[in-house]
Amino acid sequence: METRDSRNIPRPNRTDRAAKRWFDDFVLELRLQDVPGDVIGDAVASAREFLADSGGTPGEVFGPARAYAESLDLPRSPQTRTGIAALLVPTCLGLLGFSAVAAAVSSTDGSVQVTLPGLLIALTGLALAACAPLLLGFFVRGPMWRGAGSMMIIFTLQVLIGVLARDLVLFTLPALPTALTGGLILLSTSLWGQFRKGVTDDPIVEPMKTAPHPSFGMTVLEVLGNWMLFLAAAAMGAWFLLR
Amino acid sequence: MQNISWPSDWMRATLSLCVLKALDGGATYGYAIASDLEEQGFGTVKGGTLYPLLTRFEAAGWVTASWQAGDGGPGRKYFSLTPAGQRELQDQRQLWARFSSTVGQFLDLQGRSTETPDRSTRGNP
Repeated sequence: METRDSRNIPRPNRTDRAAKRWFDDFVLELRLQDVPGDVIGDAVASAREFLADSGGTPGEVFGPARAYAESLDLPRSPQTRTGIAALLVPTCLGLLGFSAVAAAVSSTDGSVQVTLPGLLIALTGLALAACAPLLLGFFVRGPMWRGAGSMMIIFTLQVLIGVLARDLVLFTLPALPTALTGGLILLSTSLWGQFRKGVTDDPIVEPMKTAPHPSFGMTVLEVLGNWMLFLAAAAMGAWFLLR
Repeated sequence: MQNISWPSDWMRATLSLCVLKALDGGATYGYAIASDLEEQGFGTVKGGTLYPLLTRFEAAGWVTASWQAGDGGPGRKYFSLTPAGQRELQDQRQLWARFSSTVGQFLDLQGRSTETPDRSTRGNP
């Protein structure tokens, strides 16, 4: 292939904190736009290549990270954001299943009382997890106080409802079916987490490099994290039954 | 070549054609294209202006890109015109020639005053 190259150009290597921040913002914005990992890797490597030749800071050469990411108009894959929901919703369902098992096995009268504050916390968690793909940009793109403030308002509302409703029991469930249902939900979400194809399956790979393989330790941690709630519920159930 | 600060509207309108032309000489990479345009008197073309154009060309099928290992440095992404890109360049060149000729003829027209009352008194109140 006929090529033209002018390697006599000075190639300053600027890896200061501002440049790192710019690249972090750039990658984050492309992730939020559902750009696949290998395309992000290509865009990052192109920017680094140009900067190595031209010098200057990324902000000077490419402008604000978010505006540059938008101007590239790279191909998008809608799986990234739905992948986040596919991770968060089962996690919240798993917590719900764990709470059901814990409440059922620790019950002394063979029934589980569902209170208004308890149900609200569970429903809010599930709603936030399901809406995560839509809310992510709001929390991540803005200043930190915006996300923290929003969470604080939600938390305050929950506490307020909890205080006003006190321990208002909405309904009572039989302990054994509740424990079995909770256990089934936990088993399902753990299996889902084990075999789903998620965001971590789309790593950012720079050109001419291969995708990094997860280490053995990371794999063990991932499996343990995935089954942690199920194992804890099983241990708790065994302890209450055998004591 | 002397660098003149061209009106940004003109640069926006013509940069796409000029980048296509810069790719006509063979496979080349981002900074080489920017340097080429600067040497030809277009002024500094920043990465934030150039890469969105190149990405658009790739999406349109006018260029292909391939990474090649650098000589001790980072890899380089080389862009080459495809046959479709070469046809696009030829089409745009012909259109541009007609357009610039039309603009030139209009500007050379005799008997039309280009001065407005405001402009004629500018600096001389």
